Amino acid sequence: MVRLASLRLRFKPMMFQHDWGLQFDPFAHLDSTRDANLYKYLVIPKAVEIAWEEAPIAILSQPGAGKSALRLYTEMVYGGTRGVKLAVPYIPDTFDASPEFHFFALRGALARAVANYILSYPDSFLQFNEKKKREIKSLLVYLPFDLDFFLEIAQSSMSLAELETQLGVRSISGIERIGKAHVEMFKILRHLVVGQAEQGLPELFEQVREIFSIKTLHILMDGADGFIETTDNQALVNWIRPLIDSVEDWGKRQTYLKFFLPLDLSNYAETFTHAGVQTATLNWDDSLLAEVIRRRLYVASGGAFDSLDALSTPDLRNVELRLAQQIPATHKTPRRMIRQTVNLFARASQNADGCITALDIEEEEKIYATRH
Amino acid sequence: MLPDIKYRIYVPNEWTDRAQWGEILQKIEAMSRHVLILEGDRGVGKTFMLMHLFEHYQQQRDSGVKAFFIGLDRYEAPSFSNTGNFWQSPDNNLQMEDVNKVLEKIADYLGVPDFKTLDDENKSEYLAKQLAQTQSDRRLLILIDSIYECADNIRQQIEQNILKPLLSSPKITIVLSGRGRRPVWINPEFRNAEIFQLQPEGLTFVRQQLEKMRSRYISEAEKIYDWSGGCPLVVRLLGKSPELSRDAFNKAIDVLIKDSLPDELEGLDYTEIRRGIEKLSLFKNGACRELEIARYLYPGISVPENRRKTRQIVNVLLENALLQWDERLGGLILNKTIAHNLQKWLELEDDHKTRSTYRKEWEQTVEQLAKQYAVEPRGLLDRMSYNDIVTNVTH
Repeated sequence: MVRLASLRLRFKPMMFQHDWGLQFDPFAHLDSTRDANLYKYLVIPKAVEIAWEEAPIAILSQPGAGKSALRLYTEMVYGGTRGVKLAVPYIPDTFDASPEFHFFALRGALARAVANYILSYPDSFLQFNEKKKREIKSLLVYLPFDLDFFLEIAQSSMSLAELETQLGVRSISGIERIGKAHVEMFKILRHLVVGQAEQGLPELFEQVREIFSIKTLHILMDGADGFIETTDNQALVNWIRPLIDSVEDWGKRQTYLKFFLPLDLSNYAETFTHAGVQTATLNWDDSLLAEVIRRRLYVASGGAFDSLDALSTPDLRNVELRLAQQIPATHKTPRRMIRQTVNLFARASQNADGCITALDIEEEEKIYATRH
Repeated sequence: MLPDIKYRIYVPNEWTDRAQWGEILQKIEAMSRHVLILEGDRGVGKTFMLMHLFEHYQQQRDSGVKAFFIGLDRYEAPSFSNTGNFWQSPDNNLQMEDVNKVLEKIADYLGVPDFKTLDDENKSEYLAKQLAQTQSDRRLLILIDSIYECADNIRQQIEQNILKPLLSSPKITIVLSGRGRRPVWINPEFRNAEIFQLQPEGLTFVRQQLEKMRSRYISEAEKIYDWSGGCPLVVRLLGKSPELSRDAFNKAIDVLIKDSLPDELEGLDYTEIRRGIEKLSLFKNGACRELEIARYLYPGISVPENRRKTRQIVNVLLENALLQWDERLGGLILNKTIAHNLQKWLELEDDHKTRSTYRKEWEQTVEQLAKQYAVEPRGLLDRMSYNDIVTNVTH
């Protein structure tokens, strides 16, 4: 039996271009959050389309099922509104059970979103009156790093991409270069002398909405998967309870919490629904997993085909569906499906005509069966 | 070609009521903040339909709907040439540098205030932002023709810089049209858009269209309907041609094909493409894969060479929406209008020599594939529904 690791070593992405008519390797990133083409081929099950509704939402799924990809996509969807709806990504970097933890950390997340807004539209900042400019700076003081240091980095940067990485956010405009307006804005921000904004978090939300004429704010909380191994479920729910308890009040202020949480918390669904949070589970069945492959093939082939059938011998049909069916129910995630497809390609690339054969699929099945 | 016949032109007087007109209108009226996409084959009348929709709402301005038309492919529409809410060039397809001009025109039409920027290059970004923040009290109707056919980067720019900001408006309907492969949309509003298939028309329509055109072939409506399959563009071309012959039909088909192809065909000549399309047109209800097309189009050539040539021809046809992947059939299918017209044209050949040759080549292809991949020829043929040919294959 050939070991999977050795198969992967022989697998060269360039072979896609020459043998299979693909313009790029759509299976290169197992971690979809690193994939620049994610927005083009992300498959979104109907049940979780509620993610971009004007309401508090909790999306639950197991690791690798595409939670973070959905969160990133949601961020992009709001970005497209050019600030009419503003995403505030919130990814806590530590587990701290103190009651004020989230409210403090969220000020930092809000400051990042505000920084992102003005970097995306520096001329808007320049046209604000003095009062608004001061309010913005007093919000930026909450950035989790020194503002003057950030402004110094910003001043010497050529592209906004570097600053987006620093902020951990995605620009809401198509402006890519640091221009005259940015330089002028950095100068003004450096010279403004203000203290930290002292209002409560809900008031800060309202202030941000008012300054930028934002219709709705959407707080996208993700990253709790990282704590699930070291924290029991009840403790995790207790940890986010202050946020759940705030949902109603914040909702009245057009500020909506969107939780992207581990599936383990699905036992606490009632806690969420009781607080008015709609929940949905990110589940994958065989046909949805097959769709993950189809969509990637469609994008990478420039719309030429959307099925592994196109790369298979004439006797084969529904190849991607057969692959999905090989995956046990407990492992049905896009990540697993992509890995399965990569293995199949590696195997087929050794065939004389480069076509996927029935034998390749059977071999994959055998390997899978012995491993599970 | 048919040099004297102007066919890329909107002539309001030639509008003939379409069977699906009422249904489309009803959908638009019932929609709020949604996207409707009219899909249809080459020549089925998408552009004419969209322009007529625009004209309809122009005439009903009091109804509170503000309509804006954007045509991405060159097309003449003299009756709208001086209209502030209309963008279309009679000579050129929309280019990347035009996208910002379209944005400016829409902003101007909607009364979006200008925004001063220190960096000129960013002007359109602020305009898009202003557009998103503009809350019109009137309903907006944006009509965009040929959105599938334009280059990916242009379409993405239109989606992100024009359409997505406009979707922030509480009362907006976007109607798009396109043919061929569905583009890769980024935003959920377009991914989940309602798709409406525009169908060819029946004999009554063909007769009425010929009457509106004042064609001299009104009495031949049945023949034109049979040949054209109710495709309004072919009816227009045949209705205006100097004679109603197989040769004239051939020229009309060439218009359909050539008009879809780029001027420069790298490494291919038109005759080769036309022959390939003719062969593929014989698949009546089925689809085939590249591997099968390669053997069929280039019999007797070594495998790597026929695959290379096939990839070239398939790519050209795919890029220009003459061929597309059919998810249901699991294979590539030819544009239905062109397939129908070519089938009819081949049938008109006195001795059916061409069809017999193609038939023989397909039989050989099936035999080869069946042998190489140890599959039942019947299975292959059934999948492809190559009705004309099945009977000749031995098992």
